[in-house]
Amino acid sequence: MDEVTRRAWAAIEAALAWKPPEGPIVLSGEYLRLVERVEQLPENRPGTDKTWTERVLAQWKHAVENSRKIPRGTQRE
Amino acid sequence: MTSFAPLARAFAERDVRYVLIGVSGANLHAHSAGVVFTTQDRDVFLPPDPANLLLAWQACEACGLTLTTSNAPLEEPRDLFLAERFVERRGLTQARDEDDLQVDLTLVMAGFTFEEVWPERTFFSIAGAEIPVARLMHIVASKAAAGRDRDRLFLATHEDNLRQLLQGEEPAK
Repeated sequence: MDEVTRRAWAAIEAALAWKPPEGPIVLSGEYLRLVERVEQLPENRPGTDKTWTERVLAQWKHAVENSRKIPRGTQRE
Repeated sequence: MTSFAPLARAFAERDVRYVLIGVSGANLHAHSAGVVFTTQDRDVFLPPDPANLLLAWQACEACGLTLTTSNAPLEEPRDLFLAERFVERRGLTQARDEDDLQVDLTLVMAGFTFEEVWPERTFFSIAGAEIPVARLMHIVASKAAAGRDRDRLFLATHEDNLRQLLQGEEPAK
């Protein structure tokens, strides 16, 4: 087995063995401080125009809808 | 992607009390495209008030959205009696258009009552429509309280993105 295949198999086995953490979700102090900072950013003043966030989502949707699988061996180098 | 703005205007015309929550609410707090999460759903949190829920249904219908609950059409007549039954059991209504707008009208937000969230809401604008949005702090705390795998994934990704984007920036004084 070549090295690339061996590493791919190792990654697959690790993913299969992974168990999601259990128990309540505890938010770290650092995360909560980051959230407070975001809330206080000038970009988040009440009334700010956030139409751009819908454009971001529309662009993502357009990209997904227009993506296609490239057959193996035909990719451009 | 269909905008939420027309429905927000219809809500405002009828004085519907609501706040946007969930991932769609968090997206409106984004200060950079790096913290906008892909989602098709808009989570609209309503108080346990039958008259308000009825107005929300009417606003959805006025915007041409189809109302469903538990994957079946919302029964008719859509009147105050039906709204009262919905509020009693904290029912979820989904509103969809023919494109891809999906709005969840929920009477439940994990960890919070409506009256806890409402006074601290903020407002953002989408295509000229004013959108009341729950505090980002309330949104992430609710996701932690809900504790589903997808909430865990969202919180871990959101924290990581914020850390990267705010790294090196001075906190606001």
